Amino acid sequence: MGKTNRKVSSLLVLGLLLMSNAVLYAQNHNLTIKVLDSVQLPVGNATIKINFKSRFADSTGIISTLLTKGKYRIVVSAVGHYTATHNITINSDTTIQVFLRSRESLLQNVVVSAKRNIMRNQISVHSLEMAQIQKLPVILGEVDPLKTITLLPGVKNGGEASAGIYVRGGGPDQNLVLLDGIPVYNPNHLLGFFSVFNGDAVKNIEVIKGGMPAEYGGRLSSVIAVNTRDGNKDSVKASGGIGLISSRLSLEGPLLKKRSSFVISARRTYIDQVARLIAPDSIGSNGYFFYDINAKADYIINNNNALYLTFYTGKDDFTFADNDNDGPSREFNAIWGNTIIGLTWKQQLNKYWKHELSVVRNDFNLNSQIKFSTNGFVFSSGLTDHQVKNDWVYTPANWIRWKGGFQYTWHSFRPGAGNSTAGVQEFKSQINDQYAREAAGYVSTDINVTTRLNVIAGLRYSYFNQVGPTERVIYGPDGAPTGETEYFKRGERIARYHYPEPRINLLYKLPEAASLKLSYTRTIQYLHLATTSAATFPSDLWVPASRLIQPGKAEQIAAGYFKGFGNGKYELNVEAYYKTMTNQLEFKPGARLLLNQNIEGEMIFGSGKAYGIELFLQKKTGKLTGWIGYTLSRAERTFTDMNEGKAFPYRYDRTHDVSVVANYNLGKKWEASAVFVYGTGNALTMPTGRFVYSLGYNVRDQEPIFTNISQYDKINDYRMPAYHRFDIAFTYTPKPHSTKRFKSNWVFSLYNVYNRRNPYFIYIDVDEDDRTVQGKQVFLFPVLPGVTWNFKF
Amino acid sequence: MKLAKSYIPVFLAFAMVAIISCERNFDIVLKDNQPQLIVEAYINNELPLYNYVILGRSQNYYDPGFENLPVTGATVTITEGTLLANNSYQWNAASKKQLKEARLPQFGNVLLPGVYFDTTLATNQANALMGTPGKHYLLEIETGGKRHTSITAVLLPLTIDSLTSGYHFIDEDEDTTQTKARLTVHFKDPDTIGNTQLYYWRTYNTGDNFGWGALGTNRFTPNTDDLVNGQYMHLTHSNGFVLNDSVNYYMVNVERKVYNFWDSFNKARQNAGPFSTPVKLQSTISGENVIGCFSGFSVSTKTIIIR
Repeated sequence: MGKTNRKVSSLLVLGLLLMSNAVLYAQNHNLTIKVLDSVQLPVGNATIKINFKSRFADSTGIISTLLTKGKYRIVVSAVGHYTATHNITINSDTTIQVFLRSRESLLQNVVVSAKRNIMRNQISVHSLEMAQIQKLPVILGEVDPLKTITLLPGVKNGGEASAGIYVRGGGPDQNLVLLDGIPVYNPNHLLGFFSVFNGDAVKNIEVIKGGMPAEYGGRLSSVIAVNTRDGNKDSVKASGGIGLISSRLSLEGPLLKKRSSFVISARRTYIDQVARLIAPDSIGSNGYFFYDINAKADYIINNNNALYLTFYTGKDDFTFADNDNDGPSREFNAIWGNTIIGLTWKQQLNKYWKHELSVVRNDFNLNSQIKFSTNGFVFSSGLTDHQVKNDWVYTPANWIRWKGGFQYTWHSFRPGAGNSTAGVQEFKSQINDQYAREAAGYVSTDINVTTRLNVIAGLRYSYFNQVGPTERVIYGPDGAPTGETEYFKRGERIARYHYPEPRINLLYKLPEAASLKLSYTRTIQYLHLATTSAATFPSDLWVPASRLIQPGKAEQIAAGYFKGFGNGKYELNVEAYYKTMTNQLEFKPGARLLLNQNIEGEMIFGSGKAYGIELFLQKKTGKLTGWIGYTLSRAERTFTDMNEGKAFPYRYDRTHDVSVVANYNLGKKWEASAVFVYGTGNALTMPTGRFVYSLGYNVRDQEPIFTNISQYDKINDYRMPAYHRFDIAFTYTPKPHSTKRFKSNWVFSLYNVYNRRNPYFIYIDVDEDDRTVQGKQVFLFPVLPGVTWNFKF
Repeated sequence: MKLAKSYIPVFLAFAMVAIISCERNFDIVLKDNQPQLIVEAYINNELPLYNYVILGRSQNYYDPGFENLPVTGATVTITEGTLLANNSYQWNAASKKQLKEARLPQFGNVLLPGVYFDTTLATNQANALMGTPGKHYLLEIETGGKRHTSITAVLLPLTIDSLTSGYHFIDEDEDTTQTKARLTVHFKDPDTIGNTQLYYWRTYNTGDNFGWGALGTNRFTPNTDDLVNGQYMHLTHSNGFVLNDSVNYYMVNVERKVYNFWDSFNKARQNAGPFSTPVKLQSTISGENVIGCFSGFSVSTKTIIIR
C-alpha cells in the first residue's frame, strides 16, 4: 500500500511538472466539437479523428482539444450513425457542431460500445446503448437495462428473477447504481423481477468493474451508471409500447426552440387490472402493480452553460388478503418506492476549464402493514440523501488533463417505526433515526507519457461521520438490554472514519490495434445493506458505519489485453483480476433485522477474496453482430464465527459463467436476436443431518410427539444445478423506410426456448406424518412468449 | 410479534412466488453427517414429572428414522447451587440427583428409552427433583466416554393476574366446524428490563400427554420485554381454544440464554426457502459434538374455562 501511494504521489508530481511546462504553449487554440444526431440530440462517446489521431467525445457528445493554427481533417463516427468528414482551418478558438445521420440498420445491431475500448485508458468497463438493449429477448417483453448488463463477463445476477447484481465477487450492495449521477438505493421493482429503469427513458448504461476513476466512490465493487436521454429540441414527439404486463408512454419536445427540451416517460403494469377482469371473485382486492415516471429537462443557456434537471418517482403497491368464512383473517399491504431529483449545471469556463455542479435529493420509503384476526403489524422505514457534487476538468494541453472535485452527502436513515398488536396488547417500536455526513475530495491526472503510454493516476480521500441526534440502547453480549442508554446531541460525533483511496490506470498501446492495461483500485464503503436473504426486499435496510460497524474496504488489481482484428470487425478483451475485501458483513443465522434497536448485535464481520479471468469476444459489424463472454472465477468469504473460521464459497461464487449474445439482420423488415447463458449453480448451505427436538409423548396412544430440526455443517458446501437458458426474439418493422411521422415495430420473443427448469430454490420436505423425506425444486419461468408493440410519432 | 416482523419480506415473497412458481421432486444429494448428541433437559419449580433429560442422536438426513434415536445408559446428574457475588457457582453436593431411564407408573410402566428421570418419582413424588426459584442447576452427562455440562437458572416466577377468553372465530376443517375463542393472559411485566417468557397450556386434547413438547404452545410469541418493560400486559395468543374446554395455562419465566435457544428453535423449525438463512440452534450445552438446551423454567399456572 505504502509503496503504491508513493508511486501515485510521484506520478502526481510528474504531472504537475509536465502541466506547468504545457501552459507555455499559449499559442494553441481550443477546438470544441459537439456531436449531435439529426434531431440535435447529443451522440455520446463518438470517435473523432483529427488528422488521423483518434480522440473520444464524452457521454454528452462533446470534446475539447488544443490545436495549433492550421488545416485539419475531422472524421466523426459513432455506433449506428454514418461517418461525417469535415475540413476546417483553425485560426482562433473554434466551436463546431457535427451532425451524424442515423443508420437504421446498424442501430438494430447489438454492439457493446467497445470500439474505443482498445485505446481508452479504462479497464473493466462496458457500455451498452439503449437502442441495442431494446433488441434483445427479455422476459415478457419487459426491456430492462439492469438485467442486460448481467450478460457481460464479470457481472452476474443472483439467478432466476433476481435483480441483485454481483460484480467480481462483490455483494449486491457494493454497486454504485447511478441515475444521471444520482445514487439509487433500491433499483428494483417486484422483488427484483424488474429494475426501476424504464427503457424508454434510458440512453445508455455503463458498468465499471475495476479501475474505478477517482470521481467515483462509496461502493466497493462497481459503478453502474444509467444515463437518461435528452428530449427532442425541434418538435413534440411521442413514443411508447404496449406489452403483456405493462405499457409505456413517452412525450418529448422543445420548451424553448433549439435551447431547451423535456422528455417524460411513464409506465405502469396492469397484471392486477387484467386479473380482476378475468376472475373478479377470486382476485378480490388482491393485486400488485408498479408505476414509474422519469422526466428530464435541459436548458442550453449559451455555448458555455447548460442546466439539466432529472426526476424519477416510482411506487410498488402489493395487497394480499386471505379471505375466510368470518371475513379476512390475513391482510397484507405494502407500498414502497424511490423519488429522486437532481439539478446539474455544466459550464465551459474557457478553453482549459470546465466544471459541473450538481445538487440532488434521493428518497426511499416503505410503508407496510399486516393484519391477522388478533395480531397486527405496521412497519415503515426509509432513507433520504441530500448531496452536492462539484467536478472540475482542466485541460492545459492535449497530452494532459486534470480532474478534481468534491462530494458531500447528508444521510438521514429511518431504520423503522412499527407497531404490533396481540389482541389489545400493543408493542410500539421506534428505532431511532440515524444521521451521517459523507464527503470526498479527489484529484486525478490523465497523462500521455509517451505516444504509447498513458497514465491516469488519482487520489480520492473520503470521510464519514455518524452523528447525533440519536439515542443508543446498550446491550449485553447475550443480546439483552443492560438498561443503559447513550444520548448524542445534534451533530455530535458517534463514529468517524476517513481513508485515502488511490487509483491508477496504465495503458500501453501496442501495434496493430492492440493494448495492454493495468489498474489498481482501492475503494471504501461506509453504508451496508442489512439483508439476510437471497432476494432483495423493500424492507432491506441501509445501515451506516458506526462504532461497531467498520467501513468495508476493497483493493483490486486488474490487468488486460485488448485487441481489434478483422479490419475492426472483431474485438477481443482478456482481463484478469484479484480483489480482496475486508469488513464484510453477515448476519447471524436467524437474525432479526426489522425493528431491532440492537441490529449491530446481530452482525458478524469477516473478509472476502475474489479472483478470475474474463474473456470477451465481440463481432461489431456485419449482418451478424454480438459477443461471447466467459468468466472463470472464484469468490469466497472468511468469518471467524462461521464455518469454524475457514474460508467458504460466497453464495454467488460462479466458477463458469458464459453468455452468448447474437443479432442477425434478416432483411429490411425482420431481424433476429438470441441470448444463451450458462452459469455454475449458486453455493448453498444444505443440512447434512436431522434430529428430533421438543419431544413429548401421547401416553394414551403410546406415540411420540416431536419436531424435526436440520443439522448443518459447512457453509455453502452444496451447489445448485447449473443455470442455463436460451432466448430468442424477432423484431418486425412493417414499413422500415416510411417517411411518415408514425412508425412502429413489433418485438416477438420467446424466453427459455427449451423450457429449462432452472431452480429458483431447492429445499428438503420432511413430512413427519407420512414419514417421508423428499428433495424439492421450485422453478419460476417455463418457456414464455412475449410480444410488444412499440410506436413513435 | 417476532413472527410478524419477519413476515414482511417472507410474506411478500411467498405470496409472489406462490402465484407464479412450480414445484417438482428433485434429488438432492447431501454430504454425510457428523452425529451429534442431542440434549433436551428441563428443571422447573411446579411439575416434578416435567423435570427430565432426553438424550438422542442426530442422523443422516435421508435415514429412515423419524423418532428420537435414544442414547441409553448415560450417566446423568443434576446438582443445585447458588451464584456467588464473584459470578462463580457454589454447588451443593448433597443435592446432586442422578436421573435414570425408568418405568414410571405415570406412563403405565412403559420404558421410554433415552428419557432420564429422578426415579424417586415412582415412589415418592414429593421428594423428587424440583427446581427452586432463585437457584442455579448444573447438568452433567457422561456418555460414550465424553462429558457434557450445562448450567441454568430457575428465576423467580411471574404472577399471572388472570386469564380471559374472547376473539371468537369459526374454525372450519374437512371434518368439523367449531366456534373457538382465543386466550388472553394478564400480568405485570417486572420493572427490570430483559425479562423473557415462554407460554404453554394443557387442554382436553393434550390432557394425557407427557412432556413440554406435547403441551400446547404459541411458538410464535416467545417474547422479550424490550418494548414493554414494566407495563401491565394483556397478551392474546392467536391459537384457538374449543368453547367450554378447561385450560391449564403455564407462563414460564426463563433466563436470556434459554430464551435465545427456544427463539432459535422456533426460527429453525420455520426455516425454508430462498428467503431465509439456515438456522443453527443456540446450544447451551458444553462439550464436543453436542446440541441442546438445559431449560430452567420458572412456572406460574392458572386455569380457565373457555367461554
